[in-house]
Amino acid sequence: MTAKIYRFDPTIDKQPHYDAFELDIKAEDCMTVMDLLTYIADNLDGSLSFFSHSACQHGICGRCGVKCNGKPGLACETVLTGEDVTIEPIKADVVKDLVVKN
Amino acid sequence: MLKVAEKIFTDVLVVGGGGAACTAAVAAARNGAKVALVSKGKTGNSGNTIMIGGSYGMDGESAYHDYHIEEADPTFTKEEMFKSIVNDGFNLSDQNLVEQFIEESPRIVYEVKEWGEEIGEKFRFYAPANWDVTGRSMGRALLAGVKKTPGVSIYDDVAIVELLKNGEQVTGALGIELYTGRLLQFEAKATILGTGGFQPYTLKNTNTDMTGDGQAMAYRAGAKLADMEFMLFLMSAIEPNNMRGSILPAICTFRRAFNYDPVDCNGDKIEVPEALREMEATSEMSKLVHMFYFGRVINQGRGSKNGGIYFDFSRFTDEEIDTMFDAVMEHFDGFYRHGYYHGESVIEYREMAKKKRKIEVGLSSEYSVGGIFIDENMFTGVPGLYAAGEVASGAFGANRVADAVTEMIVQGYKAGEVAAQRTAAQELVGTASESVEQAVGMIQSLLDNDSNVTVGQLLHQMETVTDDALGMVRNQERLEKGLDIYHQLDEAVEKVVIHSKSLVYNRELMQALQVKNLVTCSRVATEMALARKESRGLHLREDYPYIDNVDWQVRLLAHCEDGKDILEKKVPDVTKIPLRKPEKIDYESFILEEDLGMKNLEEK
Repeated sequence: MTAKIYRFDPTIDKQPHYDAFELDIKAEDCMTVMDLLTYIADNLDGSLSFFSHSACQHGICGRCGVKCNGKPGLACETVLTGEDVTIEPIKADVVKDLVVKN
Repeated sequence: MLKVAEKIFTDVLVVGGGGAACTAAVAAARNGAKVALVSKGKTGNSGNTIMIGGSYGMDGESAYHDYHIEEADPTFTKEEMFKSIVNDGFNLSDQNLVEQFIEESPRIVYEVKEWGEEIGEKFRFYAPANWDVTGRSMGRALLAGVKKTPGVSIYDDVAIVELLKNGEQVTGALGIELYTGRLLQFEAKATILGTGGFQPYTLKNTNTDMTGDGQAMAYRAGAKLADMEFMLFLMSAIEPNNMRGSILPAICTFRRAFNYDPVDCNGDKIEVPEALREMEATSEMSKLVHMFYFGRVINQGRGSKNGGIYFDFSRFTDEEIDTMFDAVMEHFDGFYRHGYYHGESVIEYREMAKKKRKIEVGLSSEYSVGGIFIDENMFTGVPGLYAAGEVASGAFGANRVADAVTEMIVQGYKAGEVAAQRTAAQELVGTASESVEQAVGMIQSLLDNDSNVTVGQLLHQMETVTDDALGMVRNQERLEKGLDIYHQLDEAVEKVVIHSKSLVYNRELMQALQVKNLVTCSRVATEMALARKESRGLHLREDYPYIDNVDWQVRLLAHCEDGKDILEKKVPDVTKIPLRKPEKIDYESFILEEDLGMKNLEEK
């Protein structure tokens, strides 16, 4: 599958852009969007930022919201189906990449 | 070069966003101090506080007589509670801290409940004297308490990265405002750490902010760490992967109607003595029982493919499984939307149990019993520095069975009171400029690194080695190997590459600072686990399977001298219950024969 991720570093970029990552993820892996972002940041591109500094991972804190294929939801609760995804910030006023003030 | 963007002057600086920090802030402000409450996440919505899946409480005597709760059971006396904490802690508790816990908790336990109820949060009483509450309700209650207390300024989403000093005294802390990248320098007469635990394992059920920041910063500032070898694990989901780390499986076992057979990778039943299995429904001692019986099987290579075991439901009918899970869902009705536990669908889990009949579960890192060494005033011994809650150590000895929720609020409140009272007449000392330079330099040097070592690699390596060395059942060889790797990681983390050079939500930089702190905590924990040549409480050694009350009825403390960890032994403070006679006792016989397990879990 391809994961297209919204990128924007306000200290460098004038315009946002998307980075695409190719991954082998199937529906039966029950991977969440949070798992996907963590995998990319830890293994493929360390500069990726998403809400992760105080994340409960179990739908409690409600702070890790992103848009997955246009639909808003919590990254820790949104399960990937193996289809391609586009991950974007949940609202305007982006701090960096997928991070918004929340 | 990085520069401090703003200096903030206060009387008492409180670091953390959960129960210890919130109650410390309230108590300090009530005692006349101007307070800055600085949280890495959001106050009342961060840390292990919001992960609470159960309850908290006080002794039954106080609930019945002082708070006039008729359903309370006054036979669960203060004396009974004291005995339970010391016995369940395998006699390593500093008993002056246990006394503080018992004597001072009723007031703040009751007040936090009132803060919550005033804003409509649900607290459900059950005997002897506990209240069921969700983590979010507890967090909201704490925030409400802080907000109605004049004199507390809240700084959310600010990561404190280093304590600041002037000579021997802690004079404040340096933080990064995560959403703007601004460096904030807090100047305070007293600093209280309420930053929570450290969880360096692959499988954990904790918030991602539990990275040992407080312990490691205090250690660098000259404080002692204690009891770090005692780590508590809890039964958690491994599958489905989207529930990984959820404590739903443990929560299920707490219900008397719930049943399962624990089996190994061959499908063979793992035998647990009936009297101990019984504890699942009555006492948090069941966590230690699971660690001992399941950890041993996993250690023998008979665990599941992901290092856990299986819950086997094959001898139950679909209807029986439905009944079991109905009891779980019924328990949580009114706390979560029906059929859910936190964000996890109990129905999805039930259907998986019916379909597969065998579910993989694991023991995940829940709580670090050890932490910063403190006295009964929450003072660390370093002038100006206090610690409370999971970040500190001493009340629970070698094993925690009493409520960690009560611990954080009773210790937090005490720390706030003492810090404010002791500094009321003092002037701000002011941080030495070299201390600020050193703290800012620590961040700058990470940003300046030019290497190909990534944080992701180091984090993965650290978690893997911790699973192996500091897992549930330990031995000399694996601990020694782990210690070697931690020393390598200590050096590697200083050279790690940070791709983005800005401080604006620099996840990689935050991870690097956190891994550094986690490695410090794990290294000290491993040294203690290696030194402690016995099994006691949550520290299980396959090469020393007995409790050694001849040589090891002592706590281990560590301090840092020229970059080296210096260990020392400390005899626990005894106020009421004498230490046990000097002999060696077989661990399993002890947990079978001794009257262990505080009875604070079961609803009557």
